[in-house]
Amino acid sequence: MTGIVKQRPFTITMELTHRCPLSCLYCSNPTELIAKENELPIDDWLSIVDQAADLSIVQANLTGGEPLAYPGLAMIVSQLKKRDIYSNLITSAIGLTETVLQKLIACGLESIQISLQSLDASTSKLIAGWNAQEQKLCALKLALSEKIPVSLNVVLHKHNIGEVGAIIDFAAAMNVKRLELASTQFYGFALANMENLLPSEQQMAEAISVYDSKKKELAGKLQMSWVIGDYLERSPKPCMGGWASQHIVVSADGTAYPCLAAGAIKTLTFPSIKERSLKWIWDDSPAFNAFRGFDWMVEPCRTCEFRENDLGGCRCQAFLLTGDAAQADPVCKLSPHHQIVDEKIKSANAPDHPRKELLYRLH
Amino acid sequence: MADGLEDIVKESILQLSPGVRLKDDEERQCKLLLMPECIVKLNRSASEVLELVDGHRTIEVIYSELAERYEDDTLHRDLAEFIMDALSRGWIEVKSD
Repeated sequence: MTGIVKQRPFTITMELTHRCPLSCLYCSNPTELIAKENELPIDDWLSIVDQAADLSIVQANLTGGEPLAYPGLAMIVSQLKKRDIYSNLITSAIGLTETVLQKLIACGLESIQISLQSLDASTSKLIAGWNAQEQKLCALKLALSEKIPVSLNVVLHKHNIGEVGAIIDFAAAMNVKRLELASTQFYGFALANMENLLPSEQQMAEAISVYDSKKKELAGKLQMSWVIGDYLERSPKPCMGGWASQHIVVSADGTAYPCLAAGAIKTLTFPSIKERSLKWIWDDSPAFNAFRGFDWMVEPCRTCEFRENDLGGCRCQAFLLTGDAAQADPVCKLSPHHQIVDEKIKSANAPDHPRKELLYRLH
Repeated sequence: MADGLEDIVKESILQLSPGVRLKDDEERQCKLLLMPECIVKLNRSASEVLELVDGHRTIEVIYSELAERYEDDTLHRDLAEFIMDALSRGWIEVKSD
């Protein structure tokens, strides 16, 4: 596409494997998981690190599935260190032993983010499919005793949103540096499980009020952020700072995407690192150029006064809810499809709305 | 004086928080502040202050070094505001004894 200045990406998310001991109802992996035999070999990942550094990428998120399940993880961390790319491990902490963690730190790992499903073991089990609570808490304590900054991440939904105050108190008491709260985003597994996950507006309002007061109380002691679920936000989020403008994802099989959810857009063909360079993918691939700039927009976005703020919202959400990735994100109140989101929220607000069967991902 | 700075004495030593580091970015011709799941593109004045936040210099020393470079009536206030903001964002911290 001509006329669009392509900035270099800042970050890469390396989805090393889709294998994971947990089966979370909101897992960000696609519902069609990549099998172990189709995972990239270590040499490909080392080459991706070099290509990323040459493309001026400065930060890498090592994720999965469970990235600790990928055998070459430590070598990748070493290569990131060598190329001066900041490395962040995003882990369930299952498999995070003292030996593993010390090796990763020695290789140059710079930060670690550990997820917790809930403070309550039975809610954790409902979400993750099995009871991993004690193992996770032990690993969290271990990480906090090492010389590496630890962030705690909790995905929020109907079943744990009432815990917000307790989760914040827990994080402060554990001396965690950062607490990231993230409302469930509805793609993949989470979309299939929406009826069981989307909180009511009242639950959300109560939780936000607790969050706001705790944030004031703990200012300077605990860094906190909360990405509010955009179904309940009523104005769309700018897709990853703009489609393919800051971020690149490489999946376990080498397919590259502008974001973790983009594989859901079935009308695009995403390029593979096995066939093309990272630079070609970023600069020239049709999929990465599909929604850059403003030319792709249809009404009401095309002439909307907010288009430069929200960039039309999330392309994946537009595709998943309307079947057309170029439509306005239906979360926007100006979208002609906004009633789809309104109906979901009304349904979540009803105390007796029927719950569908849960869809757990397989290991 | 920015809110809260009265709690921090000018003899306090500042350092980048754990997991936070500066990086020269040739492509973007600026300094970046890298930290867990966040990258901040720094403007020139923020870069100049953060380069002095090295775990050795006190607030007083940082101020006097900047004052030598710039004759600016608002330097003291601007620096105080920036330090408070950087502390609250978790970019920097006061080094404990």
